[in-house]
Amino acid sequence: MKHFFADADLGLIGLLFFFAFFCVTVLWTFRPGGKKTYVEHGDIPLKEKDDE
Amino acid sequence: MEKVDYNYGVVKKFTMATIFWGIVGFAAGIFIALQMVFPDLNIEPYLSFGRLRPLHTSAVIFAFGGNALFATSYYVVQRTCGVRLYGDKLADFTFWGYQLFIVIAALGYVLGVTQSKEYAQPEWYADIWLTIVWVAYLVVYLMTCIKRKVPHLYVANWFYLAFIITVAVLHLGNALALPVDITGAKSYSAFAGVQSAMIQWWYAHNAVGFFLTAGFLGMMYYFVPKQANRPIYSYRLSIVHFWSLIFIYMWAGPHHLHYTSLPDWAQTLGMTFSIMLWMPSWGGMINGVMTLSGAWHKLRQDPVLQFMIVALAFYGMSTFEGPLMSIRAVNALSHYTDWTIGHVHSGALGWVGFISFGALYHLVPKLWGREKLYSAKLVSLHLWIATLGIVLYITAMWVSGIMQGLMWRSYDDLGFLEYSFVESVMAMKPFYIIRVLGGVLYLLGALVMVYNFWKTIRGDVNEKEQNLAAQGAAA
Repeated sequence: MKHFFADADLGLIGLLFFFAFFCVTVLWTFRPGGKKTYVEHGDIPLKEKDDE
Repeated sequence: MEKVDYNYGVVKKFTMATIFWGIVGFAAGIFIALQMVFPDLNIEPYLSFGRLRPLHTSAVIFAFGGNALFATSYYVVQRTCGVRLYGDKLADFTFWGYQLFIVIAALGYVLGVTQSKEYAQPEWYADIWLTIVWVAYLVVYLMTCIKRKVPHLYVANWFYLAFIITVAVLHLGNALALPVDITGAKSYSAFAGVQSAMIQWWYAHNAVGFFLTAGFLGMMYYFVPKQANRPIYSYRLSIVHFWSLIFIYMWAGPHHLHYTSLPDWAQTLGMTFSIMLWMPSWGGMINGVMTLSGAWHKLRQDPVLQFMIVALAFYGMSTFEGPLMSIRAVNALSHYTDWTIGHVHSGALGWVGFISFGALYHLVPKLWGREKLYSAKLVSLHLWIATLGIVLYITAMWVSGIMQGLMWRSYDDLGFLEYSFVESVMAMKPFYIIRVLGGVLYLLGALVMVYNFWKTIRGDVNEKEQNLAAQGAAA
């Protein structure tokens, strides 16, 4: 266990992995043609199956 | 459209508990603030400041805030998933189980049965009980999400889920301890020295990040669009907000340990991530406020919406102040002073309190089947009394804290400290009185809310306001 925490490469790999994950998430979110989907998602609270 | 038989029973119970514990927690805060002004109010041993301070923090964070999160999350998940809450009995168990935890914790504080971990003072037996309740909460929430009828899981649920899962991880990590005796209350932490401090602040800062931020952002992402009757300003931004917030928050804890034996690199890491947090925080704040873009007139007319937008303003202010205070040079002045207390309360009273009040004002008429609240004017009164209370509180603590920090670091020409500690304590007294006044106003506002809810639930009609509305419509 101890050598994992002391491994500098592992830290760098982790950093790059999470940074890459974040970049891909942002790029995916702002992909061209995705706008319609996100507008629909945003409307979910306003289109509830209401009991009122 | 087919009707869904929502489980409002458990939401009602959590709503009532939120209001009850809110009043208890605010009153406890005023009492300990008074103890700072009048030390004779320390009634040893049960009602001393040392025992009541964690009672206050737990009552407002876990009892008031926790019940508000349970109530709103159970309401939001049902409605955005289009299904009834999973497991009626299990959901009821989470209610009674959580209230039992609060009572066990409170008794422990007053009787002095605690471990020295801030915001996690209850002993091992209470920790185990909370784990059971929390797992039940996760099961109820997750199973409701799984059986949803709406294909996409709305972003508010992401924030609520992040809150539930992360708080479980934090609790399990920080509470690791070995009881001295299985029949006794005393235990020893699995961690010692600087590791213990690091685990403690990893826990406590993420309690702020995931309990008091992510959970309440879930509330914001549902109730602001509902109250404004407009979709969130940018759903795309809400996704970026979510991932960046949860990635970055996890690393910010070490800023609580500047100038300690924690290695410098870890302190710098905590500081850097804290500064980075500014961006997602403000992204979220802007997303919430801009939901009213093109419909600002709603803000003028609706005091419930005003609560939510003022909450977002306080969220923006405290998430700017937090990164500022995490900078090592600023922290050298601010740490261990009242500035920290002021900062925490601008977040707790302004953000957490106000977004909860806004959500409660939206919820109560719907849960009890009333057309609207008894009085919109009383909502407005609550808003202004409470805002004035917060402003008095935080400005008093800023002045007092910065003064404290400056007095502690003042040297004379010969290199001696210019002030003794007791001189700095005496200098703070006027500000402590202002703080009490701020707290009293905040509590008064909450009592106005209780009265308004009582009348609303009873079904009373405010004829004066109704006549005015009718006259307005006729004109």
